[in-house]
Amino acid sequence: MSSVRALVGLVFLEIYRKKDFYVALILMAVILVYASQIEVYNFENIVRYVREIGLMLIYLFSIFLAVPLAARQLAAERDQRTLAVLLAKPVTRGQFIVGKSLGAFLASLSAFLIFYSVFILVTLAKGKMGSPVNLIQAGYLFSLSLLVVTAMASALSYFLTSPAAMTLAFVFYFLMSLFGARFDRFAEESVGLARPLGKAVYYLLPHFEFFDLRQRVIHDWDPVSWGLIAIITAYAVLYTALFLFSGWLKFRRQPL
Amino acid sequence: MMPAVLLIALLSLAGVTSFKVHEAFKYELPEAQSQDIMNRLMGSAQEMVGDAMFTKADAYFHGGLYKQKDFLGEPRSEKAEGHEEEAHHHDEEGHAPSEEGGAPNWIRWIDRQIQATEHRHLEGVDEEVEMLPFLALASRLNPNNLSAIATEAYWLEGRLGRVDEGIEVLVRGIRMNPEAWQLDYQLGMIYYMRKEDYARSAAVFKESIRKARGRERDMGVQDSGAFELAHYLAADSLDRLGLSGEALEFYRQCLAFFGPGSEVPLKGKIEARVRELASSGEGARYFREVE
Repeated sequence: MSSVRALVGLVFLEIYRKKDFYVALILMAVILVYASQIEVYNFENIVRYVREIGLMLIYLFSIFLAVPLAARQLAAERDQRTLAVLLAKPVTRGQFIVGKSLGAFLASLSAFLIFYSVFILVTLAKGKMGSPVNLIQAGYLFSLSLLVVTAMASALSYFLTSPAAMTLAFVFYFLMSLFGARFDRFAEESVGLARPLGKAVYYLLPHFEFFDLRQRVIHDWDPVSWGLIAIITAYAVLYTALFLFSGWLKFRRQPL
Repeated sequence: MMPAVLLIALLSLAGVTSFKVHEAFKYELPEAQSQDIMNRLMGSAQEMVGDAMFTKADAYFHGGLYKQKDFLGEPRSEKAEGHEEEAHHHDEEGHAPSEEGGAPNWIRWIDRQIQATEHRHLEGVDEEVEMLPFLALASRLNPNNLSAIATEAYWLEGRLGRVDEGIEVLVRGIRMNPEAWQLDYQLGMIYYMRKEDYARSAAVFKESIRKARGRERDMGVQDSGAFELAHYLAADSLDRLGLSGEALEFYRQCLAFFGPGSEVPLKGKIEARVRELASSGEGARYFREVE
């Protein structure tokens, strides 16, 4: 357990050692503050467009930080020739996989929480924060999507090179976030190989749109039921476990 | 160090040259001068973005749901457009809906719970203002999008109490679309109904009628109704200004729209007023002059 914790700590610090996080934070803050200052016909209480821009930036920046961080862990250890040292006892390959993935998740989660706090402050300053329950649920579900996406990027990095794993993780994430809900319809309307392929994508890849509650936050819809949140949590945990397990299956017999 | 200094010097030189060239030719390139920063950056793509903003404003009005397709790729309920009987896409009981002719799909069920799909509208000034940024962008990015201009003006003057801003939007729209009679008609309505400025409403309705004349065949039912009403309101505005003769002319033109057997109450009202004016001194004088 202490080995996993040590690995998590190392990965966690990595995100704050690089400039990416600070650039994203400053960029997001500048855009949000600028957007919130725009006056439309001198109405002061227009806030939904700020919420939309803010949440889009937060989700994008968090994913852009999380995926590379998770995907480059194995390659970085190999490049620095520290992998063999690390995997000397008492760190097992399973612990390495869990520690690296969990570290990437917690690091990106912390970045996301900082972004989210800035977003909440800006919307508070605009006078209309929206339902706190919606904000909590949206933040929680997006955290779960970070958990799955870091596990996915991490698992892919055991099968592919780091850039390929990163690219594929981004493709899967955006494909399923944007079109996941409609993939079965596309498959139904397709012919030939596209049909089974579409069905396979629909049922096999994680549905990242499950974790996106932005519409409810932006437009003040009612919160979803906590039962549904529990179901999606189980879904995220299952996919995370599957990804990490597949990574372990590949990595356990891989030469260093 | 040297290359950096050289690079900065070259960039400064390029900047100064570019500025000087612009200063020297800006009055000879009126088109470029008139373009705003968005136009220069985006070119013709800005019209497409403008139209997308208009669609976005409509989605905002419906709680983030798009008119053609909701998040799940299904058309938004048209039944619910009537406001009274709200038709909902989603399964209100929370049962897992099945695919058409297929097995229940749990992924679709979760998607439906996550994504709100009920039909609803923004209500009250506090909520309705949320559309304004997108409407304002839509009409500025695509100044030829008449629906965007008319909608922006409608929300400003009709729902949010910003009559002068609504007029400004329409005046700008008319300047950019000189042949769009519908914008003149809408402007006339504001002068007539909201401002009670009958001199302006008469002038604008007359302009609207002039622009629309000859295009009656292309009009739909709604436009055709507006065209008829423009005649009546032009006549009424003139009548209120005491210009009975000219009012009489427009009343008679308006009467021509009603069929012989038409029982519309407005027809009876106009006929009575026409009789009244025709028998008055000024009405009779006007027709003598015209003849």
